[in-house]
Amino acid sequence: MKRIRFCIKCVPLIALAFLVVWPLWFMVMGSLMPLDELRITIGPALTSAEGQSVWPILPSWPTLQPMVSLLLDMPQFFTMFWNTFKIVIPSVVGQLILGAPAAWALSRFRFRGRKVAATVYISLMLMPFQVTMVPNYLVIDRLGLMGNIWAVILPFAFSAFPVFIMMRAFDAVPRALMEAANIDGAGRLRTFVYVGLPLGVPGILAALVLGFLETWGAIEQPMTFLNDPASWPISLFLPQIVSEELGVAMAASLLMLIPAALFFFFGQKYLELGIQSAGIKE
Amino acid sequence: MSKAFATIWRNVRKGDGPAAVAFLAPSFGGITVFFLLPLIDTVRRGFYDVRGVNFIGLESYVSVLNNQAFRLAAANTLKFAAVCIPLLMVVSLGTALLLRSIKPMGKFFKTAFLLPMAVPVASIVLLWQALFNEGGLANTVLLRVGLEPVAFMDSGAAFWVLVFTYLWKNNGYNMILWLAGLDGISETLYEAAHADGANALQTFRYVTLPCLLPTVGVVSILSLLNSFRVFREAYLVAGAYPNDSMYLLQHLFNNWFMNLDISRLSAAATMLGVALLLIILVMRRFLDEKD
Amino acid sequence: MKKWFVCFVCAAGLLLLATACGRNGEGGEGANEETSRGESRRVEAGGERSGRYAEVDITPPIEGRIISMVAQDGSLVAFDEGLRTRYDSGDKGVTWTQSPGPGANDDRFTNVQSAALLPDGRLLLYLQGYGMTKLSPDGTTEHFPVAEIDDAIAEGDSHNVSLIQLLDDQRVLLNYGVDWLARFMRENPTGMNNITHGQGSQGSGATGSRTEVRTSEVRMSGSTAGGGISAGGNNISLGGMFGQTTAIHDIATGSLISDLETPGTLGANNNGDVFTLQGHSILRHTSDGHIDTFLDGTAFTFGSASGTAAAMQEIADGCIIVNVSMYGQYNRLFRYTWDHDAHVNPQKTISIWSLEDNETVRAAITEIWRLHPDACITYEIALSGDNAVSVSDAIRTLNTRLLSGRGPDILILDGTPVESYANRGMLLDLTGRMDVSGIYQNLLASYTDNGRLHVIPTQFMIPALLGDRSELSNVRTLAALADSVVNGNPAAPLISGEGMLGGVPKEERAQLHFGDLRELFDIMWQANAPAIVDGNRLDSDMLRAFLETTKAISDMYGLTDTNEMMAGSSFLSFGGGGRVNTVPASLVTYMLQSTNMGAFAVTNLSLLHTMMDRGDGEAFIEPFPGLAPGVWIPSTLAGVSADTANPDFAAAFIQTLLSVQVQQINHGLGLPITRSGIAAQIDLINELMRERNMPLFGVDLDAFIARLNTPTNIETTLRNMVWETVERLCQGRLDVEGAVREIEQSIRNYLAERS
Repeated sequence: MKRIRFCIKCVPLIALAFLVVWPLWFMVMGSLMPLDELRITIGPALTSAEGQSVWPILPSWPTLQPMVSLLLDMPQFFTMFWNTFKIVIPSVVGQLILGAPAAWALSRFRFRGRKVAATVYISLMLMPFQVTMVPNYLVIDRLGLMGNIWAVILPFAFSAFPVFIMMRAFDAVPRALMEAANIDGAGRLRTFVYVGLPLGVPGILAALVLGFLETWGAIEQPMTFLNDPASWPISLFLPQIVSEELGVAMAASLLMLIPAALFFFFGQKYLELGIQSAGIKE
Repeated sequence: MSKAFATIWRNVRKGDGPAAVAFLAPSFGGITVFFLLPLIDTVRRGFYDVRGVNFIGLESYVSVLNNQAFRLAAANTLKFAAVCIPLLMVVSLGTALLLRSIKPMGKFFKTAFLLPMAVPVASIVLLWQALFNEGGLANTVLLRVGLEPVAFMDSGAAFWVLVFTYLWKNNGYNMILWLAGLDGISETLYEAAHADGANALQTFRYVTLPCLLPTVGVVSILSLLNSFRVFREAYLVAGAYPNDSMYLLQHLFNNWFMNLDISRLSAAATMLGVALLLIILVMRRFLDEKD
Repeated sequence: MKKWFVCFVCAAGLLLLATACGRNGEGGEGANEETSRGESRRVEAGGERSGRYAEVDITPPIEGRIISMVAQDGSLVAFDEGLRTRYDSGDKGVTWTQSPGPGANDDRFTNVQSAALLPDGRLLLYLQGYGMTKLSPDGTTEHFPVAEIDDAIAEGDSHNVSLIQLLDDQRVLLNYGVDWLARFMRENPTGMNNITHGQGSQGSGATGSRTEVRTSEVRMSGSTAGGGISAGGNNISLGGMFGQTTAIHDIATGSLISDLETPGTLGANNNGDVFTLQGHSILRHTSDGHIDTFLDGTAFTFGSASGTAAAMQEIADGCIIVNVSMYGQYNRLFRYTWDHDAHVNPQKTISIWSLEDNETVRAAITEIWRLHPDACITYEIALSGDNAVSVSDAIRTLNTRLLSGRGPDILILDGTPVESYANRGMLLDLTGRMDVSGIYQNLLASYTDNGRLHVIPTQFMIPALLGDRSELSNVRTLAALADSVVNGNPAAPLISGEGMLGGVPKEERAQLHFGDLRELFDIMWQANAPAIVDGNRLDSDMLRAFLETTKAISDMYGLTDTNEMMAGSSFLSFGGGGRVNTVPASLVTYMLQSTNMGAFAVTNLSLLHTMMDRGDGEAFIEPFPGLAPGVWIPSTLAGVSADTANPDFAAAFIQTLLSVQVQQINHGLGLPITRSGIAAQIDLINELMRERNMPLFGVDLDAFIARLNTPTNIETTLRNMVWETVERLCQGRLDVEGAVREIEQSIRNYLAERS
C-alpha cells in the first residue's frame, strides 16, 4: 500500500522532471549529431526545409565534428570564452565585497531610513534594463569607462539583486548571537565578520551562484558598453542558425552551458540553502 | 540580567546609524551612480523631447496612454503576471509538497528542477526554436498522437509557450523557497492536528497554509522579478513583433528605443516604475510584517 | 564539498588576477586578438593620433606595366613592360637611374608580369611557353622547375604567374594560377558540357581572381578585372578562372618548401610574414598564425575605387613599397612611410557610421582625404566579422550613443528606420550647408520636408522590367503581369542535369523567371511597399493583391523548390571598373533567351547596357509595374548628427559623396543620383563601346528617371516581417487570407507604436 502511494507520488514528479530535463538531453545529443542527421531531425524547425522534426533518443552516428570545428576553426570562440571570465569573476567578487556589508546593514542594523533604503534596493532590482539604458550609457561615458570591460563589470558588481538575497539570508542570523558577540566586546565589523559572514554563507554563496548565472548570460550590457567585439563575452556568440552551422550552433550552446552548469553543480547545495534562507522567517 | 540585555540592545539601536552608513556607503554609492541617477534621468526624459532639450510637459504621457500598442502591451503584461505568477506559485508549492513526501529521491529531483536556471538564454532560444517552430518537435508529437499541429509562435498559443518557459525556468527556484517554508513549520502543529482527527486536506488548509503565509511575500516578489526576465527569451525566440498574445511592455520599450522614441519610452517606464513601487509597498507588508 | 567550492572560486579569482596583471604588459597581443577576426571593425583612415602612414608616389618614368622588385641590398629595381628599360633607385624611389634592360633587344619578355632579382644577379621570371626561368645578364636562360606550371604547359592549359618575390638568399615566393576550368572539364568530360570555355571572356589576365572548385559547386570571387561572364547564342561563357597557388620555393632547385593558404597574396618579408590583400586592407599573416591589419587602404590609392594593390614589399625602416594597378590608367608605385608628426586638424575630425560596409563611402573617404590631408576620418561598420550582432543590436547601440549625444557625426542610414532619425531632430538640417542642385530634383523632393533636408540619398536603384516592347506594353499593371505569367509558359529549369541551360525557342519561353523566392520577393516588395504601407496606414487590399501576385508567380515557376546549384541565385561578373557585380538570375535567364522579360533593380549602367541587346532584337525597359507608380529605391542615405562638433566638415563629406569623382564610378550599390555622375558613367561606357565598335548606350535615362516620385520603404524590420509570412505563404503553409491576417497583425503593432 505504502509502496503504491509512493509510486503515485513519483509519477507526476518523474513526468515533471522529464519535461524539465529532456531539452537538455536534446542539446547534448544535438551537439554529437552529424550535420546531415541534424538537418533531417531538426532542420525543419530551424531552417525553411519542409517536413517535421523528429528526435531520436541517441544519434545514429555520434560525432565530435561540430565540436572540433567550433574549437579549431573558430579561434574567436576561445577568446570570447576567456573574455566571459574576465567579466564574470570580478562582477561576482564585487557583488560579494560590496553587497554583503550592505545586506548586513539593511538586515541587522536599526537606523532611520532603513525601510526606504531596502525599498530602493528592491525597486531597482525590478527595473528592466531598457528603462535605464540611455542614462546608464551617459554615466559610463562620463566615467570614461566606455569600451572598457569595467563598464560591464561595475553595474553588475553594484547590482541590487544579490543584496536582496543576502539580506534575506542575514535575516535568519539569530539576534542572540549578535548580542553575545556584543557582550564579548566585539565591534560591529567584528560581529559582521565573525558572526554574520559564517552564518550567512549559504545565502552569500547562493547570491554568488545566481550572480554568476546572470552575468554569464548577459547580452545587452556587453553589447551596448563594449564597442570592440574583441572583448565580447561568449553570450554574444551565436552564429546565425543556417543549415550548415546547425551542428556548430548546437555545440556552442552546449559549451556555453557547461561552465554555468559546473558552477551550478558545485554551488547547488549552497544555492538551495541560500534560497531557503531567503524564504525563512526569523 | 534581562535589564542588562535591554540596555545593550538600546545601545545597539541607538548607535547603528553611523555603522550602517559605513556598511552601506560603497554599495549605495554604486547603486546611486549606476541605477538611481539613471532612473531619475529617465523620469526627467519623460517630460522632455527626444534630444532632452525642450520641456514638453505631459505630452508624452498623454500620447502613451492613448497609444494602442501601449494598451495592448500593458494588458498583456498584466495578464501574463496575473496568470503565471499564481500558476507558478501553485505548481511549485505542489512540487515542493510532493518532493517532501518522497525523501529518498529528493536530491535527484531537486537537481533536475533547478537545472533550467543554469541554461543560458542563447541555448534556450535554440531549444525553443527546435521545439515550437512550425516543423518543430512539439508539433511532431501532436501529429503522432493524431492531433492537429499548432502554430505555436504565430497564434494565441504563443502566450502559453511564454508561460511554459517561465514555469520551466523558475519552478525549481520557487520549489526550494517553499521547501524552506515547509521546513519551518513545527512538527508539533501537525501532531496536534493529527490528534484532533484532521484529514490531510484539513491539515493543509488549517496548518500548512497559514504557516506558509510569510513565505508567500518572498516567493511572489521573486516570481515578479523573474517574470520580467522572461522577456529576453520571448524577444530572442519570436523577435520584436511577436504574436499579439505575447506582445509585452518590454517589446514596446525595445521597439520605441529602436525608433528613438525615448520620451514616450521614458514616460511609459516611469508609469511602470510607479506601478511596481506600489506593488512592492504592498508586498513589504508581507516581507516585513514582523518589524 | 564546501572546500571544493571555495577552492574553485579562489582558483578562478587568482586566474583572473593573473590576467588583469598581464593585460597591461601585453597590449600588443590584445591588438592581435582584435584583428584576428579577419576584418577590423573600425577603420581609421589616417586615424592614429600620433602620426600615420604617408603615401608617396615614387613611380619611375614608366607608362604601363611596372615590374618592381627589391634587390638584396635593399635598393629598388623596376622594369617597364617587356623588360626594355631598367630603373634603379638607391634612395627608396626618390631618384631613378635608367639603363637598358634585358628586353631592350629581345622581345621574349613582353608577357612578364613579375620578376625577382636573385642574389647572383640573375632575374627569375616566367617566360610564356617555357615556364619559370633564370635569366642571366648576358641573356642565357636556365629552366627553373615548378611542377604545376610545367604540367599546365605540357597539357596546353592557360596559366599565369602573377608574383615572384625574393624572400632571402635561399627562398622565393611564387603566386601562380592554372586554369581550373580546363582541368575540371578534362576530368569531368560530361559535367558541364553546356559551358563553352573561354569564349567571349574579356581578356586572359585574371590576375588575382580566386576560384575554388568543390565537387560540382563553383564558388567564384574576383578581385581584379579580366575574367568575365558573358552570353551569346545558346551558351553562357566563363573565362579566366584561375585556381591560384601561393608557395615558397627553393631558389637553387625549384623544389617546393611550403604551400601557403593565403588567397590574394601580395608578398612576404624575410621574417616569414605573408601579406595579402583583403578588401581594402593589406593583412599580415605571421608564421605563428596571427593575422592583423598591416596597412588599411581606405585612405590610400591601393584601397580606393580606382586602384588595387598588385604586389608589395617591406624594405628597411618599416618602409613599404606597393605596386598598384590602376583602372584605366598606367600602373603606379607608392612608398608608405610612418610619419610621426602628421598633423590632424581637429575641425576636420569626423566619424562615419554605417550598418554594412559601403564602397561608395570608402571612395568618398579616399577622395576627401586626398583633398584634406589633415583630416581624420573614422569609419565604423556596425555589422562585420563573425559576431552575432544583428541589425537590431547595431541600431540599439547606435541609438544609445545618439541619445547620449555621443553619436557618430555622419550616419549612413541604409537598412535603419530612416524616418525616426529624420523626424526626431537627431539629424542636422542640411539646407544651405551644401549644394544639392546636381541631384535629380524629383528624387530629392521626397526627402525635402517643409524646406528642411535631413537625409540625402546619394545613390538609387530602379525596380524595372526589361524585354521586348510589345511584351512590356501588355504588362502595365501588377494584375496584368500576374496574368501574363500564369497564362505563359512554365519556366525552363535554371540548371538541368547536364549543366547550365541555354536558350529556349521563342514560342516556348516563359514570361519571367527567378533564381529563388527571395529574388522575386525583393523586387516585388521594393516595387509595392509604398502602396501597402503608406505613412501610418496599412492598405489591406493592396497587401492582398501583393500577396496573391507573389504567390501566383512563385507557384508558376516553382520558386520554393530549393535548387542547390542556384543557391544565391545570381551570377558574379568581373569587370565594370574592376568591381564584382551581381547579376540577378532573372536577368541571366533573360540574357540566355529562355524568358521574355527580366525583372531586376537597375543598379549598374554597364550591365543595363549589356542587357539591352541579347542578340535577337532591341530590348526596352519600363519601371516594374507595381501597385505604386514611380517607385525608386534610395541607397547610401546620408545624414549628419545634430550633435556633431564639425557640421561644416560633415557637410563637406556628404558633398564629396555627391562629387563627380565619387559618383562616376560604379560601386555596386546603385546609380549615381547626380546628373553629372550619370553622364560621366555613360561617357565611360560609350568610350569603351567606340573603342570596340559596338553600339552606344541607348537608354533615355533622364526620361526614365523623370517618372520616379516615390522612394520605397527600405526598413529592414518591416521587410523581414513581411518576408517571413510570404515565405510560408508560398510554401503552402498558409493561405492568402491567413497571410493577410498575419501581416496585418504584426504590422498593426508596428504602426501603432509609431502613431
